Formats: sequence, structure tokens, C-alpha cells
Amino acid sequence: MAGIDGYEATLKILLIGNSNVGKSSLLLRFTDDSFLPQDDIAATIGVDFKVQDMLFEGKKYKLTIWDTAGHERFRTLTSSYYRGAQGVILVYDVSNRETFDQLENWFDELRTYCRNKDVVKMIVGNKVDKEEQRVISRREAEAYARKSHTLFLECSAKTRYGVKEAFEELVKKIIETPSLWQKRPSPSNNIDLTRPKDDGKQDDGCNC
Amino acid sequence: MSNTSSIVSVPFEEFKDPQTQLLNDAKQNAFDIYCACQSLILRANLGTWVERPKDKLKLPEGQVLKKPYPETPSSSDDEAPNQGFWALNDIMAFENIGVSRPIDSGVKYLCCASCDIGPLGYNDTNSTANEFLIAVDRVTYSRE
Repeated sequence: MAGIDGYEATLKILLIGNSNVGKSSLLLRFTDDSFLPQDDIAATIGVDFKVQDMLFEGKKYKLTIWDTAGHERFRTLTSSYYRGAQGVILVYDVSNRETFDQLENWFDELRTYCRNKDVVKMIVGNKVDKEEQRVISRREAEAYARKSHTLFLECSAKTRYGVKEAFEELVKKIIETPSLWQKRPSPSNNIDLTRPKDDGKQDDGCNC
Repeated sequence: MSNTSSIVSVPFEEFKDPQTQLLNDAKQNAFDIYCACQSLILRANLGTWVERPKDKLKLPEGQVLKKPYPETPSSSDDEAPNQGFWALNDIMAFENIGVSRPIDSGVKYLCCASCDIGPLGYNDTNSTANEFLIAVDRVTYSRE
């Protein structure tokens, strides 16, 4: 397709997690030096998604990074949102236990809507700049991530600590999982031989 | 423009006859398109010059984008409802772009994916032509 020449692959990455864990700030922080102050968020028309190129080990990738902010309140996340995603970043706030405990719900949703078992998952503990208010230790989160077979990283969208690394590590893992992107046909030359497409409602089943 | 050793993109205002200088034979952008921050937005020959309503670039009262594009005071002879845009049907054809959530009217704003300045253009989700429009005068141009 015109316009994507020179790209190794186009990768779809989702940011999910409770409200106010800092998903929007992470999305902005990946590309920009300025931090989104809490006060500004109300009046600011947020970014839905970004298309971005990323150079990784000498190869160019096109990333589409999607932010669910504003949707999760209404629980309108549907399979169309998850469809085709190769990477999912589950964000919690290290200073808010509820956001960590509810990761389980987000995993449930992932299992429901994201039928590709190879999709790369990463848990990201945001707001480590608020060290005094921290209630989730790195060790606890690491243990949970290990149990859930996901990548794990802590970061601060405010100080930028760990943000770039989070996206890079996720992309690296996706690249190391060729089944995620090499066999993926473009919509125009789609073939239905390999697996059922998304119009069917049946579940892929849990792979526990 | 004479400097070919490094990428220096040229603002729209410097083209005396943009409809000739900026277009290839197919009425598409002859140059790569950059944000003023030098982030590459769109490669050459992918956008088609169209005239579309410019008032849709105006943000609703009380709402802002993270980094608002500086409004130039409109001159009195500048009453035309339309202005030039680069139109694309495929958002994935952009190299780098940010897309806002829709406002009440159904318009989504396009902004720079690197510095977040915007609107650089818009996508009216209510229009039948699902066009992504980049205002020709809010971006810069480079032949690489």
C-alpha cells in the first residue's frame, strides 16, 4: 500500500487500564518532552491515537498507539478496538492499589476480546515519581507479572523515566514473535485460510 | 531552498504560487510535508490538494488542544469559506500523525505526533468522504 513503503511492519499497540493511571500522559510522553498537567486534562481534547514511525535495530516500524481514555468509563471497548493488536500495555498507578488490583479485570477483557494468544502484554507501573505515596512495591508487581506471563516495567510519565524503554521493550518482543506480524495479511489481500475472521462471535478459548 | 545538504523545510508562505510549486501533475503534494518542529508528517505524492471548509479548524469555545496552533488574525479580505488542504483517505499513509477524540460536531483534529501542535487539519467523521485533511498553510515543505 502506498505510504507504508520502507516499513518492516505496522504494529498496533493499545494502552489500557483504569482512569487516571496516566495512559494519556504515557502516550504523549513517548513522543514529547512536556508532561500533561492534571488541571489541563478536563478542557483538553485528548488524543485518540497516534501513528508514529520507530527505528529499531536499523529497521523502520510504523506504530499505531491507541489510548482508551474516555472510553473505559462507558465500557464501550469492543473487539474492534482490540482487533489486530500486537501489543497491549496494561497501566496501573503505583500509588493506587485499586488500579493494580483491577489489572485482573483488564486481563479478563483481553481474554474476551483479543483472540490472538501471541499478543504481547506488558504491565507498566506508572507514577514512580510519587515514591512516598507508593503502595505497590516493585517486587509485588514483578511477581504478578511473572504469574501472568507478561513483561513488566515501572515508569514515570512525569519524569520520563522508563517510558521509551517500555515501548521499545514491547516492540522488541513483538518483533521476536514473528507470528504476530509476518503472517498478518493486509486487508486488501486477505485470505481466510489460516483462521476464522472476527465476524464470527465464537471464542478462541482460554489458553491459561 | 538552495540548501540541499540538510533537510530544511520551507513554510507555506514562501511559495509565491503554491498551486503550481507545491503540486505534481496529479495535483498531489510534490514535497515531503513536515511539522514546523521538523517531524515528518507525510511523504510526497500521497495527498491531493482540495478546497474544504476552513471553519472546521476552529476549536469549540472552551476547548483546547494540548499545544494550540497559533491563530493568525484574519485579514478582512480573507472571507473565503474554503481553503486548501491535502486530502488522504488512509490514515496509515501518514508517517507521523496524532488524531484527537471527536468533538460534539463529529470533527476529529489532526495534530503533530511529535510536538502535539494542532489542529494541523481535521477529519469530519460526519462527511461522507472520509477524508483526513491537512491544512496546506499549517505545515512546511521539503524536497529532502
